[in-house]
Amino acid sequence: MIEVEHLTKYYGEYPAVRDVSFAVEKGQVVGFLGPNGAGKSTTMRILAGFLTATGGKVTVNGKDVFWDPIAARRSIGYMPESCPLYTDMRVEEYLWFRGGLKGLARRERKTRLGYVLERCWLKDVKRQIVGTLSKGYRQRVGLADALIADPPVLILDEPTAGLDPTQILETRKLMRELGQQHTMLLSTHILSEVEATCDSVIIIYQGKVAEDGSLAAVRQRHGNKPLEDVFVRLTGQEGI
Amino acid sequence: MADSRQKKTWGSRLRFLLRGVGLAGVAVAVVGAGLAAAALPNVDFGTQAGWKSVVPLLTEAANGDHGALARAGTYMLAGGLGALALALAVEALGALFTGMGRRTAAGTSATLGAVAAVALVLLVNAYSFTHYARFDCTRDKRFTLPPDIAEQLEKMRASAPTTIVVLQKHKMFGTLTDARDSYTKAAEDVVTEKVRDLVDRFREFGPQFQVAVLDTEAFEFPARVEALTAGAPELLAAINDAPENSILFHANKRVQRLAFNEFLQLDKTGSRAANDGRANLVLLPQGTETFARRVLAVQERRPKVAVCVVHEWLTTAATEGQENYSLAGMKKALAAQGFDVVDVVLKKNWNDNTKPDLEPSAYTLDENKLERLEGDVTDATDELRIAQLVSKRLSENETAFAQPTRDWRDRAKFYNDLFADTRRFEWTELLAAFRRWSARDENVTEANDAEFRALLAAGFAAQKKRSDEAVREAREELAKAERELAAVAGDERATEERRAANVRAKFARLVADVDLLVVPRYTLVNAPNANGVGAQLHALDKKQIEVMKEFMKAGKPVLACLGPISAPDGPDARAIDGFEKLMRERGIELGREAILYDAERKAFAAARAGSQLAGGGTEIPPLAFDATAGARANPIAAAYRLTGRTAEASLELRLRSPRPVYLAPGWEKHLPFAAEFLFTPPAAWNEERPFRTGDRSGRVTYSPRFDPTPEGDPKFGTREEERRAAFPVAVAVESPIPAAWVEDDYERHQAVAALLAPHDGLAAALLSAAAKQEKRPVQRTVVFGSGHLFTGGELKPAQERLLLHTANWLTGRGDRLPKADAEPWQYPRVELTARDRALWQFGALLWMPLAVLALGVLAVLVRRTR
Amino acid sequence: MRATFYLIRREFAAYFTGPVGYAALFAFLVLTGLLFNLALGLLTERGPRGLEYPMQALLGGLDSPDTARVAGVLFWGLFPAVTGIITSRLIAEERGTGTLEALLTAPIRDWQVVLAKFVACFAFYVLMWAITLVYVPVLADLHCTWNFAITPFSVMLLVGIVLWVLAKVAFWFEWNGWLMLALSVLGPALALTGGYLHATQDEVKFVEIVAGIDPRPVLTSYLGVLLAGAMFLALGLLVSSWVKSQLVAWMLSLLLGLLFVLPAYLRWQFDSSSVVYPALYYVSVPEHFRRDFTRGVIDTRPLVLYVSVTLACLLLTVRSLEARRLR
Repeated sequence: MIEVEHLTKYYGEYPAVRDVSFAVEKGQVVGFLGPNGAGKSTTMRILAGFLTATGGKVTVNGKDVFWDPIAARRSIGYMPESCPLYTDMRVEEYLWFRGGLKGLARRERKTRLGYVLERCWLKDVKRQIVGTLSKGYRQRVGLADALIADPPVLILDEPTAGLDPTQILETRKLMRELGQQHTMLLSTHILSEVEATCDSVIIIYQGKVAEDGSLAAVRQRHGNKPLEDVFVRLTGQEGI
Repeated sequence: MADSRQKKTWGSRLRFLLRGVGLAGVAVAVVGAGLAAAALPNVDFGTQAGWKSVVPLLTEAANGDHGALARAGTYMLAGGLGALALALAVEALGALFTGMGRRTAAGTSATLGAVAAVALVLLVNAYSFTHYARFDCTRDKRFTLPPDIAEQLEKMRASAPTTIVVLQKHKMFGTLTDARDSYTKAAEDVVTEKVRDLVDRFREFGPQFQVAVLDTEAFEFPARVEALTAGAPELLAAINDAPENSILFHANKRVQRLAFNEFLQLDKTGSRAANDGRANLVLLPQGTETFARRVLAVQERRPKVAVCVVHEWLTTAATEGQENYSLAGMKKALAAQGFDVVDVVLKKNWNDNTKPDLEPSAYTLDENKLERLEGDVTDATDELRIAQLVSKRLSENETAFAQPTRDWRDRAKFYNDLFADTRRFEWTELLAAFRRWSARDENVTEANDAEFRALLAAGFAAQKKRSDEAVREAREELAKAERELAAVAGDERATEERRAANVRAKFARLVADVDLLVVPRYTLVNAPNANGVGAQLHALDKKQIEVMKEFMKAGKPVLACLGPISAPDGPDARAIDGFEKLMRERGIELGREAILYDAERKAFAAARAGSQLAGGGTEIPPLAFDATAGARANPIAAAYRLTGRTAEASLELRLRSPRPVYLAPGWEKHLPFAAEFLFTPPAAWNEERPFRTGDRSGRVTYSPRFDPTPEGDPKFGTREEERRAAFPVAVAVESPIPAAWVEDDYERHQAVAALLAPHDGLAAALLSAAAKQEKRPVQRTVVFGSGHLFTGGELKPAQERLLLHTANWLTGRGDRLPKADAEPWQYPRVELTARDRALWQFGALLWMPLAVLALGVLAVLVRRTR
Repeated sequence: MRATFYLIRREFAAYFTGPVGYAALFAFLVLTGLLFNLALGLLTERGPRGLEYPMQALLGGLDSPDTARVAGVLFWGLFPAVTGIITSRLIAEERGTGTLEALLTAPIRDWQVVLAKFVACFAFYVLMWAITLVYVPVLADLHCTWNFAITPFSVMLLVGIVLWVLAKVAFWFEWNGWLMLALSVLGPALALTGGYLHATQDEVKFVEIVAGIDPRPVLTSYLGVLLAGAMFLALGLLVSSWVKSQLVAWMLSLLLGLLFVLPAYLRWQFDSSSVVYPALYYVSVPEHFRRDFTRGVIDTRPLVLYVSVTLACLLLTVRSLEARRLR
């Protein structure tokens, strides 16, 4: 579904991502793991089409993200890191707008809106102004926005950042459900999340891929240590 | 472990440094520019020359020519710009090289695209800057020039630069009135704006028009005038001489003047009355053509006016003490309007007691001056000759004296001869010597001869000195006279004309290039005081009349101001000369009487009673202009009336003792307008004997009084009937010259045609047609029935306007007469009741914004409901 | 294209859900109200003062009464400020809150984003000026007599107008795209042809409008205002795409706009015959209005300037968005 080959991204002189290559198969739920500033968000932004890579090739659902952006983006449901929303719109207005933006016809949009409101537990707040919602609800709106066009691939950047434990549990539950129908790429720096929701993991450190593979395979490679230890060793935090 | 990606490289440090240097360079350059601007002399960035002078100026400053501060500033400017250039260059290179690997093709294309967009915009705008079109979408096409003027301006394209100066002297009406009020100020501003607009339209045809607006009340006025007229003294003269707000056109050393009122005439009366009395500014457009014609005809020659009088005192030269007779005011007024005025004196021998009669002549004042100067030279030559003769005689005597003869008797004779010469030539020094001797009371003998001789020797010496001095002075006088003569004799024409002895040829040559002939006849000025000059003195010679007739036959205009021909015993028949006959052939008949006003009767009555102050200060009623309007309106009367509306000052014309001037009966149908245009008020009568007569003791025996002509009298029913009426005192005629002047056989032809008519209609028609077809140019003549209408050192406003309108109409400069045929311009007004107006005001300023505010608050509130 | 429409709708609606639109509208109406009052005063004046071109007063070009001159300078000084307010939030706010990311990852091209934002703010701008059309009956001294003449052409005109309005409604309420397109083409076409034929062929008109003062300068003024506004809006949009803070975006666009306004006031230094004046005239927008548009003259130079700068700015904004991706 997602194929990344020799991806490189320079911010001016600073190489954020250096020669990253990985692949995500259809139906997989992949966790994108790494310390802060490792290059996770950058990679996801490139995948979603917000940034342009300096070098390398990225294909989503067979469409090159650079040469065929519109088709590629149609296949992607992206939820950015800070979950930005238009704070002056109501929830259902916002989702209606996003649906239209993603190319849904009127009737279809209506159906999808109902479905998405249902799925993300937004029915009670559908007429509320986004600016008045709590963080948890906002994340759900973001998720609903990513879902509304029913894309085959979901790319979520730190979906549980800033949520309280109850909300985290609910969100993880939702993601597990979604993982059964969509290909998902989650980025997080919370290890438990990866263990809870994903079946594969990619570890990024200082712009390079440090480890890539299914959870079991990775653990095995590093002597069946818990993921945390693997992570620590790979990111050179030993001794601290 | 530290992030390996964060290391700083030397390359990035260098880049940072260069960027810093570049920015610092900008700051330094700005400061340097400021210093240089403060220390260096001003550069006029409004002209191309100004821009070109910047680089040499900076080079000079760098060398230290303008002081240390300027030098520092220039160096800083140069250094800063250099640093900036360096930083930009490195930046560009860096972007080119290092970026190549990093940036994708998309990045490069994006940058190139941006640069290309900016470049394209600049190019497109640069092209459109010079190639553009203007579309006039107004309803009445106000911003398009009439096609014929556009054509002419197109032809003028490559010609000389024209400067148009809009001169605001804050005097709207010249000499008419100095009144300034809100109307004149508003009119001034509007006209200035419209002239600017008009010139902008003109400039579409070529950039050679330069406009300058000068305000005499502005502080920079003298400096700006100096800058503008450097090298153009004629423009400076025109600016100083302009009597009112004007637009001056200057090209090729010629200047034309257009008054504001000749471009857009302020109609004050109309302005006050507009919009049901709420007042507006009403301007009467005098046509774009007026303006354009001035521009196109700056090179036009000034029309020439010749004033033909019989005495030097009556000319336009102001002689000291004789201003009342002279026409100096007329000359000033005409010159200010662009006419050249020359005088022609038609009689000579006034002061010559040797000649019994006045002789006809034709000389200009210049010429007279020439003669006088030549006389001076002759006199001075004579003086010199005499002085030299006397000096020679003295020398001879001295030589003889120095060598005395032996013979005593010869010597005594010599002394006697010497004494005789001394007395004859008035050698005062020698005379004194002789007197001194005779005081001794003794005769000259051989014994005291030596003493005598000593005295005489002293006397000779002194006398010689005096004599030499006299010779020297005479020589200087001669030299001076010759110089003055040379200065005037440089004028070829004057000398040339003097050579022509033939009066007729001379006169003809004098008026050959004249455009308007003025014939003023100063006769009776004030009947109660019997002021005036005898009318018969003005009678001209036959040959002179012939020249005038030729002048009129050529179609050139004539203005005559003929005063009454009254003399103490009645009208003076000698005064009716060929000129009046000429006028009659033109259809203008002159009455033989003088017109007296009822008000003047009191003056005569007072005189009878013996009062000393008789007559002088009587208030007489003003004259009335013909009021016909429309197509048959008299052009001069119509123009005068319009001027009255503009100035709103009463342009009342008062005239003492005028003479009736009538249009000959039957001529009305030949004329396109009403000919008689100036009338006395009805309370006046025509008096044949307007003078008081008294006997030797001073008692008044006859005083003019209104005695209506009785019925039986032959004069009854004719024009000469003594009656009370409003008499016409001015006539304007415009018609082809009488056929009789052109074709001598005309009358004969007409008679034959009349005979033939019953028998051979065709031949008759042909003959009369042939007669009619003689080249008969249309000629304009105006006759005023007063010789003192335009006299004086300075013309009063009413007279000046009348003169100018008359002169302009006569010389065919009808476009300079005020016109009211175009649609008057005024500010548009909207009729609203006070209530409506208040509603609109409040609505616009308060209600609409408040409504929006309310709407906004409402919307935000609605959004906030959960 | 559908995505563009939805973006336009959302952007336009956003003006009315927040205070920005109302604030801009309020300021603008106060300004024009002031100028209209001035014009009204001069049109109903007593005495030799007056106003030859009413639109000149409304668009801040009068010199003579001093208050008018001050008001004119105020108007043109604040004009870039008002357009700045409208445009500053367009991209800057999105960058600030991060919603730009959400927008640019939607299946919509960059140029469509820029176009949509520009169309939305231009529509708001047109709305602002459309409100001032209320002043035209006074400024052009219009007198209307309603005859209600029903002829084929007048019916065409009326039907065309109705369809045009319907097209706008269709856009707003998202009816079928094809229907909306058809309406928005058919409506104006019918209205224009019907109107033209009605005006020229028919004897009795539906409504007789007689203008006491030449109304054509009004038309040319509004044309000029629309195009000049487009230029200022495009400039504002470009500036908005450069910075993150709305306030900074507003100030920068004010400064840039003033670059086109301030040279006009150098005309008191340079006479219209000097060499510098044509260059000055080319760049200064108030001069275009004072000399040409408000008096009924259309000069191609300002038009070329406005259109070219607008297009260039829009292009540069697209490039700016692309560059954002390349950073």
